[in-house]
Amino acid sequence: MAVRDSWRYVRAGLITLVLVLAFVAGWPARIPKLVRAWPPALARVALLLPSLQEKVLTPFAPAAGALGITSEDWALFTGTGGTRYRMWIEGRAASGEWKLLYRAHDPEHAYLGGALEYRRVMNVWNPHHDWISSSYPAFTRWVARRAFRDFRRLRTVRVRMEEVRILPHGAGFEPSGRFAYEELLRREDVAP
Amino acid sequence: MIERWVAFWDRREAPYSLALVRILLGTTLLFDLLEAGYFNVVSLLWAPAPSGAGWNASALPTPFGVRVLGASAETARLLWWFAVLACVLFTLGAAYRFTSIALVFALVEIGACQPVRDGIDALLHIVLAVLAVSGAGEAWSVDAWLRERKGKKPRVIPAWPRYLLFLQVIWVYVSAGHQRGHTWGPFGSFSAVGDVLGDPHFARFTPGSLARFYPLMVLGTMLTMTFEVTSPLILLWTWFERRPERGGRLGDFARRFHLRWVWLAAGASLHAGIALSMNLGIFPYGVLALYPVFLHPAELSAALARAPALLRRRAA
Repeated sequence: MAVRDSWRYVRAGLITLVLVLAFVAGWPARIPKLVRAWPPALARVALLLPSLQEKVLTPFAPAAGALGITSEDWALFTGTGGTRYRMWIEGRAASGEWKLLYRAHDPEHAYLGGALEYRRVMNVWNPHHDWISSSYPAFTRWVARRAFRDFRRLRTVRVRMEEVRILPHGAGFEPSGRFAYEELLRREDVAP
Repeated sequence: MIERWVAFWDRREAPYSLALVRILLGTTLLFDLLEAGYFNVVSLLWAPAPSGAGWNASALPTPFGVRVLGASAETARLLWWFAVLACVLFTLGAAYRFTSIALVFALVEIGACQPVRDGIDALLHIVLAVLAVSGAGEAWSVDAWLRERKGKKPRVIPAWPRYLLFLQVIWVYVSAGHQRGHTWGPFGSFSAVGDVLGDPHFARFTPGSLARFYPLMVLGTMLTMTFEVTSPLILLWTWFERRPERGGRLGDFARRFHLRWVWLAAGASLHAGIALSMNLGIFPYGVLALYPVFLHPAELSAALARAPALLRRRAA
């Protein structure tokens, strides 16, 4: 009975610790951005939080890492609109024009559409503001290898992102004709 | 005060709410994992270059599977199979104590090999760790069925894992709500939902095809923000329902207008709307799978007891 009673206190203590750590881990990583418009005195105090956060969490990082827990900061869809991207995948035979294989939201060109739009794959290629995964080049090699296997005449595959402007009032987007994150892959470069 | 705090975390209850979370979340995750197999992207996601875009040697720490078996497409496939198997057993509640830990381990392994993880991955890691130490396998499970066959009585379980998950879901909303950019507010004309539906990478329907419903998109943005920022109030609404004698006029108001159920319905609608209109993978389903934590097990078992009679009445 005494053990059970002690355990109740230990467990409540551990849960309290978890709640405190979760709260500290939830302080936004975007604090410097969030406090830009704050009164300077308040912003200075807020800017102390990231280093305090690190000091508090560091001793517990190995335990969190073992469970794959990275953060309690849920910055989901913080920014929308403005410049976005639309992925194009094209292929070209030895002497010929580029042929569009896949373009986001283009039912006429949906090669590997299901796989590319599967959320774990999409995370690899979808640019986030000015950032793209460091695995993007490896992804383009994988795409090219699949395309060369499925289309025997192709010699080159190109993967790139067209910049698009999101239109107001839910009117969709406007293509810009400008491209970023372009990767050009030749058959001999990606041979298995 | 301390004694009340300790007593609160020592409460026990029937296992139905957490068992339902186990089944819904396990099914969602299983579907997500099977999609990787169906689309033949296991190597892409979890194998190193040149066969994939997954684990690379600069990543720390090295996953256990990679340390033991080496980094290869075969290791990626093995880890995926292990995760699928653990997920099936977890969902069925078979050898739950072991399989829930195995699933946590499997997700940590594939998470470490995966190049990019999103919000639902991060949430799953936390939730599954809590579920693994809970009694979610004590009902509607293979374990419970076997125990029943041996003539043993159903067990009550500690309530604290449900309370923690309850707080976790609220925190996701609060944290997300407070970090939204200007397009989610009046200075951005509440354009956020309309913007997402115009984004070729996230829109489910042809961007621009729903423009005539733009006022609804603005309303959706407003409701999403209101819902997220005020989500801690669900604690108050729940407490008022549990304690009909407390809360004064506000409590009476909340009970009279069923504010707890209004909040739950708003949350469910929000996620159903996301699932219907946006390509965000399992995110909306994964969060909805956690909603049973907002229900007391007694409410759930009462609803289930009423269900057959309701169905019979409908059929008659």
